[in-house]
Amino acid sequence: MKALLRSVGFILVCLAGGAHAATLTLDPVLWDPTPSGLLVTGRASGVGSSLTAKVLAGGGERWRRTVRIASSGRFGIAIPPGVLQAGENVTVRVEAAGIAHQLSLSVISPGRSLQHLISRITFGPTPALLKEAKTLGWTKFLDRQLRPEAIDDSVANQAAARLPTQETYQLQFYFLYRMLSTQAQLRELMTWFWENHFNTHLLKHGNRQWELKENTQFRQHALGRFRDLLDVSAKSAAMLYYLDNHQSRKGAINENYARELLELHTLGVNGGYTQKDVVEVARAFTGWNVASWETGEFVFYASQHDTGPKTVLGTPLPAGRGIEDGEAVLDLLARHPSTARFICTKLARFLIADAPSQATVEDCAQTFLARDGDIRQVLANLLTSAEFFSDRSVRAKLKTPLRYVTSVVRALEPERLGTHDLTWDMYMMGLGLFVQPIPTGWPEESSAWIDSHRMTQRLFFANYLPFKGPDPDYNPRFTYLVDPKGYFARLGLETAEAICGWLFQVLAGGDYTPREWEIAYSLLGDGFTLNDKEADQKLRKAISFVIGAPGTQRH
Amino acid sequence: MRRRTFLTSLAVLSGAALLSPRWALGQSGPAQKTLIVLFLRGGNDGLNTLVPYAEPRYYQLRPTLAIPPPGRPSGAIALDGRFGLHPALAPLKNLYDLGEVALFPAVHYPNGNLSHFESQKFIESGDVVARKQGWLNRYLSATASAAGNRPWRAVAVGAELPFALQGQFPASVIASGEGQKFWGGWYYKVNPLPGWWREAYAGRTDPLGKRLAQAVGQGLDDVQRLESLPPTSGTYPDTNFGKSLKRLAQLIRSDLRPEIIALDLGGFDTHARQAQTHAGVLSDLATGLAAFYTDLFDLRHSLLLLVMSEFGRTVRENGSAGTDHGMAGLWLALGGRVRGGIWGDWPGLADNRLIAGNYLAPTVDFRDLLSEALARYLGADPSTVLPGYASRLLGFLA
Repeated sequence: MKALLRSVGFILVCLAGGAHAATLTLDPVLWDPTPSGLLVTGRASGVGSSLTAKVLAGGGERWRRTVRIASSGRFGIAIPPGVLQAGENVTVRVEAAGIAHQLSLSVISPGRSLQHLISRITFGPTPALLKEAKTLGWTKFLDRQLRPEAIDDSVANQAAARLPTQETYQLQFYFLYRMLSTQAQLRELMTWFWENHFNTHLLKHGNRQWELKENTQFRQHALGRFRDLLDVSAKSAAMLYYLDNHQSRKGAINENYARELLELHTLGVNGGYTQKDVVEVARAFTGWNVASWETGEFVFYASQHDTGPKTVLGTPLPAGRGIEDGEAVLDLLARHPSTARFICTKLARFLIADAPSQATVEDCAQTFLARDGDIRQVLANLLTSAEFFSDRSVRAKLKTPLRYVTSVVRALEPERLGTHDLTWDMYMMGLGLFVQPIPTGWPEESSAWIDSHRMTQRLFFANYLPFKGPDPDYNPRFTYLVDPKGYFARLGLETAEAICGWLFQVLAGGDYTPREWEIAYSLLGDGFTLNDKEADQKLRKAISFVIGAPGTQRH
Repeated sequence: MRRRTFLTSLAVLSGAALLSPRWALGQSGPAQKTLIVLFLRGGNDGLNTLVPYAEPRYYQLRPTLAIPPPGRPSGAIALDGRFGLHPALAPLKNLYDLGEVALFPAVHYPNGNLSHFESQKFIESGDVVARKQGWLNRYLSATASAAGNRPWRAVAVGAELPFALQGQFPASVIASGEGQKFWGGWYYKVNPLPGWWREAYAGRTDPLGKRLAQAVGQGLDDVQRLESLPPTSGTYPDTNFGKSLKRLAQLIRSDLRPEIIALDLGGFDTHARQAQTHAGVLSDLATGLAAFYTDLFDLRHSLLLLVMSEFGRTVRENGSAGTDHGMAGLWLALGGRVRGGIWGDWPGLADNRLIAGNYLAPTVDFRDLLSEALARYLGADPSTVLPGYASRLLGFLA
């Protein structure tokens, strides 16, 4: 049934037929039709410079517009939000010079759309990803993203492997580059999730290679078992220094790691532990240390370990053991019901809604426990939950600065990617990669990112990003949309309606108001062509406006 | 006063009122006084900030970390024969001698929570549970209609809005750095984007859309207002905190003087090798505050600065020459109306006086300090802001 719902067919009907020189065709639509805005493109020849586009529904005409055709024959029809209704079959029909073509569309609810899934499990759509996802369909696209080992990501991997990581900005760019370029988007998204869940602060220990190593290991286990992720973090030099466990010795314990392990990494603050447990866990991890600054290799120093008997969460750990104490604590925590609930809550907040329902979390926690913390299964559970499909979850989250910047850059595919500016822009919006001093990591709730200052920073970014290249003060380390005309030409988008329609779809998820449309459209103007003398400038202005528009802030 | 004169002056008054644009918009003038709430994030080690050097037990509990008594090298700065300031706080000594610094060495709440995030949430909620709205926001909301709808009544200086200011009342966040402007380049004679964006956001009516519209509108207004902020002649340290305090002084001297300002200083979570890091943040704190106080010396009778942290630290040093999360800790109040000195009972460091043998016991509930600021300084009824709490005023405000 689900598969049927997803398989929205593109039925092309040629009413005129015959061997006319005049042709009119509509392209396959890149998005699932929903009540949000929808862009339908096509090409025409020999029919003049305009056509009439109509939406037919329920036996009558729902909407119509006169659509300009570019001299190349390309045209785009931007059906505004609110025209289509979920659950109905509609026909998009174009007519010109006595011929007509039409396309039948099944309109589905936004929660079940491919674009909702893409917006939550990737760093934002690229033109290529939209095509790939539409070809695969909802279920297969998710399956593919859940099995990154089967994705050939060699191009992105090789490019990333050539990037330097000696300096902080280089390391930040390396991580950002992977987010922007990888085909395995969900794995990269989850790498970020774990990186942030097990937050470490680069400036506290100062060793960039430790962060790189930890990041690589999180990527390796991003969709694997929670126990393995816990192991990566507990033995990471970055973590051992960040939360001071390297200083904790028999008879002279440091509680910092133990407390945050319980409070922030596993059980959650109300997960049922006491101060006594914090102390016992700290004792269990005495001797867990870093072998050398250069390699960041984990080492267990038996001589520093407290070998006395311990009791953690009511479970006795016998005396006389070594590294087994810490391992036993990690085993205990990785399989604890409070951990299942805590991790599921965070994941649901990350993927579904700021305040996920108890039912969603409990169901996810069942999977977590039954599948021994298999994150792939946990994600599959959440992404097929009723709450994920609910229209209430759609576009209900404010993108974090990271999701905002990555989604804008991925959609626009700048020819030159700056190594310095994007991570700085994000930092100005409140999120610094690898430099969050507080062990909670960066919040995922929308409300944490809404204030006058941070929203203004987003608009500064929108204002400047499309203009960096032509600016006389242009810094070659900055991101640059070298050729917006070429970008739209490659996509076959040449009229004002096609271009604005694309920008609002790919950046703002088809979420725009008539007034927003009017502003963006006026920046190009009715007769706009890519050959206009001022085309470059006009396009940059329109891009700028849509990057800063309300719809682009949300997913 | 004769009836005629009285009528004339009344007419002049109402004439002025009608002419003043601010009045015409239904906004009241700049605040007559400002409460500044500074949160030291991470749990400041109160014992090494205000040092109980007269207590031998202090030196037993902290064999390597204790601040030596006054007179010794790197010794504490004696205040009253019992307590002394960490040497890095030397810049505050003058203000203390002026009688305008109150120190509260043992402030917290019953059953102290050892989590940073819980304890910060409690204190900023003005409660011993986490609430949805910060205590300053509750005060601002409760007095919003009387205060009029004026911009910058409440401002956070820094990169984010501290929880104390979060809630329905829309406080502004103002960065301390420069360059908060829209870029016009050579593409726009007048950059139309801010205006268009304002319109676009204002056109959204769903709950998240409305919140974004509010923040964007306020942010765009702030960008304009910041351009006319008066300069200040004070000399501030070249640190983020110094820059924030400079921005604070400019705000207070502006004709949109805020009534409430909140800001943060981080770096107090000193689990390891505390001696250096703690001295560093205390020095930043003291140098900055002294510069600020000097800069605004003429206004100090209309300033109250409350300095707080989520908890103190363990009285015993840990195995890493640091201290772990504790309970009662040091709060400070500065201002022209503050009665200087050391306030509240000192619980002592004897084993039977400590909680769990490692935490300083609170003798002053933090809500009493908030209540006093509310009642005596802001003229508000504490019970509306801190409902259900029966406050006990110490009298540290004249």
